[in-house]
Amino acid sequence: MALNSKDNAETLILLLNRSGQGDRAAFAALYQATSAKLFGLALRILHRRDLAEEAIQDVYVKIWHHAPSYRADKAAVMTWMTTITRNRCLDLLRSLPPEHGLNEEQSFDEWASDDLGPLEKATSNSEARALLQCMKQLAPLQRQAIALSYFQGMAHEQLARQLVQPIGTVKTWIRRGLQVLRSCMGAL
Amino acid sequence: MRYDKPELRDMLAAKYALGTLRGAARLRFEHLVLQREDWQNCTDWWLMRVSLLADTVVAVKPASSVWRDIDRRLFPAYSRTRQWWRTLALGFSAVSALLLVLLINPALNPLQPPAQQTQTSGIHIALLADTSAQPGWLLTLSQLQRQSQELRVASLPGLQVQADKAYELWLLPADQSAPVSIGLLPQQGKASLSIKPELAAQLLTGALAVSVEPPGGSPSGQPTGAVLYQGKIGVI
Repeated sequence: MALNSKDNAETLILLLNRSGQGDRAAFAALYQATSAKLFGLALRILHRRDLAEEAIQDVYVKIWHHAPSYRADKAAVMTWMTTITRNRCLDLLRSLPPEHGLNEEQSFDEWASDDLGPLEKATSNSEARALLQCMKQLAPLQRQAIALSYFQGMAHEQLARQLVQPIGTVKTWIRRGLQVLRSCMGAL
Repeated sequence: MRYDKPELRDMLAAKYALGTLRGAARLRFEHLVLQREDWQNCTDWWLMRVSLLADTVVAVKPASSVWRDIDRRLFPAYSRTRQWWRTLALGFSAVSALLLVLLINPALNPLQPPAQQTQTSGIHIALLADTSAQPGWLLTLSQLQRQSQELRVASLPGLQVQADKAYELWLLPADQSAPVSIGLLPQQGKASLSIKPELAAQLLTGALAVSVEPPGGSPSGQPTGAVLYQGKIGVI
């Protein structure tokens, strides 16, 4: 089931609210509906299956405990759960010893490619497809810098090393990139 | 810094959402967001947009051991027997049935003032799950109105698809009388079933079951195949 339509978003709100009231069947349904995408995200960040599984367990335990405090007027369920997943994965990534070399193993060339087709193919949500359209307005390396920040939690210094650019250049890329995204997505 | 400039607010919120805002600047930002609603809204806007990046990853189904471990961590006592679903389903049914009786029959409810008799609060929903607790459909009943009612049905990803067969939804009335067909359930996507007024009250007190039937539904008007899913309407 693609989680894109308004009805699906409402279904997720129902399931999360019921989970918050202690309904385990609703929680199981929520897991069924969302875990594949969030596990995909955990794998993208952590690269290793065992680490991603550990992260996703922590994430759903946290979702269960924090479900009562979820507020539908502030964020969509997928946004809320995605943020929890990303934060947990980045924490785990940072806690690994440096010699782990996970950052170096990960390639983000697909974001630097002129063809964003493979990314669009994996995308289930129409709003995310709109974001990809906006990303096409950025230069390839600018896209890559933004993807590295999001998926690897890289700070400006690390980005500069990874992309072999002066730090000032990387900062400018990101700032201008975000400005372009702001006006592009704000106009949608 | 002049914090009233929208461009500054916007750029800080964007960097915060992306994660490139670090250290003292991040802490300062978090402090400001707590105090100002416009900053909060702007940050929510960016968090939602930036999170869309996550949707570009390929979905990968986790191994079934992952769910087992989550289950064990959250409910250690129940998981040992692996029977908690049934206990829970029964418990929930009993509690929600009681709630429903009180809701639809306010005369019996000491807490409900008579003036509110015409109002039925809450949303009526049911999860239909199989014996291994895998949910197949989520049902939502439109708010009680005197006339027509509508049951909206959404199939869930864990549903076992039956090729060349149909899933038929039955109402099992609380008075133990014969099952009444409500309609066929979709094997993917959503559907909407209209409920006859005379069934409406029974729908809330009775149980729901789903049987496997030939395409087009049961030829006899009674369930002919295996009952794979069950549930009960409750109020949230």
